[in-house]
Amino acid sequence: MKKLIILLSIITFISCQKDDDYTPIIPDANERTLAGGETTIFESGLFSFDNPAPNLNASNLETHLSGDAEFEQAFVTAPAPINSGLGAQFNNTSCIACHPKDGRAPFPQNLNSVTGFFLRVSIPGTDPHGGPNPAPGFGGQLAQNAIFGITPEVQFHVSYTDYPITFADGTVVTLQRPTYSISDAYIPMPSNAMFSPRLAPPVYGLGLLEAITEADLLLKEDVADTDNDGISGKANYVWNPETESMAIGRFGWKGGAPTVMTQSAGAYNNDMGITSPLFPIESSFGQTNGDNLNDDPEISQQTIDDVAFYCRTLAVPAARNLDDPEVARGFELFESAKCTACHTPKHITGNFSGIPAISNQTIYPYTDMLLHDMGDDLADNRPEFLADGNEWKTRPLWGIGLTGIVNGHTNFLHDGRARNIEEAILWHGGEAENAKQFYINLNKNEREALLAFINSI
Amino acid sequence: MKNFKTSKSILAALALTGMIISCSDDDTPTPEPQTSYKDNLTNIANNVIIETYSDLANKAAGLLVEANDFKNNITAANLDETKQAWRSTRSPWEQSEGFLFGPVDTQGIDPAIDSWPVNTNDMDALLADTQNFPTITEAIVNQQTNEAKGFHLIEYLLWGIDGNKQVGDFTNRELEYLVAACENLKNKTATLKDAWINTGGNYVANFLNAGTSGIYPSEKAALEDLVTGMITIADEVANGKIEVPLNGENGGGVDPSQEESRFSHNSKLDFADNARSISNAYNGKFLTDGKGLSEIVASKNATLDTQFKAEIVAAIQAIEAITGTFSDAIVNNRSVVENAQVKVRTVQETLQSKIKPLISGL
Repeated sequence: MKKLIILLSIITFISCQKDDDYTPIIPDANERTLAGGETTIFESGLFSFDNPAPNLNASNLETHLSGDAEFEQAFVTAPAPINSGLGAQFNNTSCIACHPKDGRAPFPQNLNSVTGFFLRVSIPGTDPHGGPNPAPGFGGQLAQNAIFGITPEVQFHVSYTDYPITFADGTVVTLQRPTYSISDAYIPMPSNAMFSPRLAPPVYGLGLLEAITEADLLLKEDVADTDNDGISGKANYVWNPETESMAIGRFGWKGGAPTVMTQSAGAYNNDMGITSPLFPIESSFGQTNGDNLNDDPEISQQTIDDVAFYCRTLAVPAARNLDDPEVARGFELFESAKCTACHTPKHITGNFSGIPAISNQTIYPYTDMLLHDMGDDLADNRPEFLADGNEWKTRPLWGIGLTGIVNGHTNFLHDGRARNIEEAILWHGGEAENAKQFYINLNKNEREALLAFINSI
Repeated sequence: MKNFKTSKSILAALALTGMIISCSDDDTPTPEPQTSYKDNLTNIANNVIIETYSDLANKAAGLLVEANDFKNNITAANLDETKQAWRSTRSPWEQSEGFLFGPVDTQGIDPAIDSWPVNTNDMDALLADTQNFPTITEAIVNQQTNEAKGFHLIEYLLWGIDGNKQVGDFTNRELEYLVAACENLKNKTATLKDAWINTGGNYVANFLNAGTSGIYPSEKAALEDLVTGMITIADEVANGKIEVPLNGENGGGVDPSQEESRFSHNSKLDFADNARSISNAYNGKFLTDGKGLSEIVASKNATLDTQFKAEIVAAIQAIEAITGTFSDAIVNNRSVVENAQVKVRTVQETLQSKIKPLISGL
């Protein structure tokens, strides 16, 4: 009870607390508990990810709830009186289906049903804005589903080989190394096509990440590794269709989208085949298995505004048990391993126009929002703007420990290949090789402490 | 349809409540609660949740039998029996929506059996495609998107878009699709039940062993999720299922096309059963009567327990007081619908502002 009340009332707790009777085990554990600043919600059960930020003003809350309703809408084949325009090519039929309870999609048992998994595709070269060069006849993303009577672009397949890792203490963990392939392409796939597997990530806290100032992010950038710590950090610069200019990339597994709006409208377009004012052309436009209807855009600017607003204003779940000695020890190890070199614990957001709730917040996302070479084992070998084939954007870790309870699985990394957090750590390579080796050299108690820490944030 | 609208805002008030409690508290450790809630959790999980899912699976099996009878003997009586079996199956499903979490969510069963709207174009296309699909089997239905299977597709097939489909209107292909979709529903509901029971996926263990093993670090955490599940369905009924047809999306005006079970005109029963799902879990009563949340609330605040039970009853009565169809009432009898909405919102608000804080304070 004591612990819960502390969590529920952290601001008051601090102000009520006398300085002389409180000795934190870890500095600023109380502040770190408030992972999303004033947007933090004190839920740690099945409903941890799908709450509005508690500090939204009344009109912002109303917009959030409109977006919430839109996020759950399932689309159907046109013409239809409601939610018309699915496909013709698609991966899934609603936002919530890929982001269940606003959380993380499981790696699917059947890759060719409606799932949160797909392959991106491109051929060498770039598009006019420096982005991935679409594969002729397939675009930038492959669909394994289509409306009835239309041939899907492809079918997906995965096979695994064992990849054993041995800890210093002799313990062996066997990772599963996936190999993806396609079949049943509706026309021949270009022989030089490059594929990148993706699994839908959680959507809470995105507005806070968007509100971190560019200057703040660039402070951490070290493209040439001038400090010689083996860790670079590179900002992606990507095309922003809202402003028709280049902007720092913040969203997507390689930072390929500059804003929550672009990411959301892109997902409608590529994942569901739903056109919007921002992306008014069908993802399968011009394809023989595309849609020749003249019904675009299929959703209004209002809908896409509301959905982007929704994703920007979801509460971040509070960290838990940071004063637990094992968790505190885990944080020390997290720092000693230099995980924090990329999983930057703290940021302070700038001003976000129109949403005071996410402005000027002290947050603990544990990401630098930058690209890093993660090694050959994780490489997709498919560039995306400035991100090369080995580079991925550092994932935020806030709320990760609640994935199991909320989503019923712990499939992590860009394609869900890691079956738990330990496996995710062991997949790290490249700039994170030393951090991984640090982990491999820990004893069992230390490994458990580090995992306890990650599960607490 | 799952429209969450309004009033999660009270979560903010909950945090505020915590602050007030904290400042009036001193910093000495509060004793751990002495009471165990294992009996309450065990009864709710075994005798409400699993029994509801068991009833659902049984009724869905019964629906398949009726659909097959109808397919084999196309009579008005058999059509009526199939329609009645659909309503009977719908009832435990709606009574499960107060605890719409766990395998129903993580295994994608909710969208697979209760997606809305129906993809009538895909349905019609499959019905027409005798060349590639000479026989519509359960396996073929299972491969369709969620919007082309489940409760609402079956409803659409049985009642038609205007709710007045006659026995002579059914084609053989529609009957094939009907039977296959019912078989798919039966399979999914059986999977759901199996995922919970201790001889299957044993998700129930999370509630039976809360605080000891499984997903819950404490019994209280499990109780809190049960309350949040109730809040979620009360919110959805008041601010989604009733609000959107009554007032349109974003207050755009009455919109009968947004009514979920409009082909069968089963909406009123859907809403009442949703309210019953709250009642069932709160009172620990489905087929048998045992410990629920009620005893816990009563032990802390007997007045609140009495008040809340009365509010649930009032909500169910207000929904049932809507005369005629919901489709008609949202146009011609709006004040009665609005009254039902108010009563469901009262349930939601009491859950959010009183019951949840009480449970969180255990």
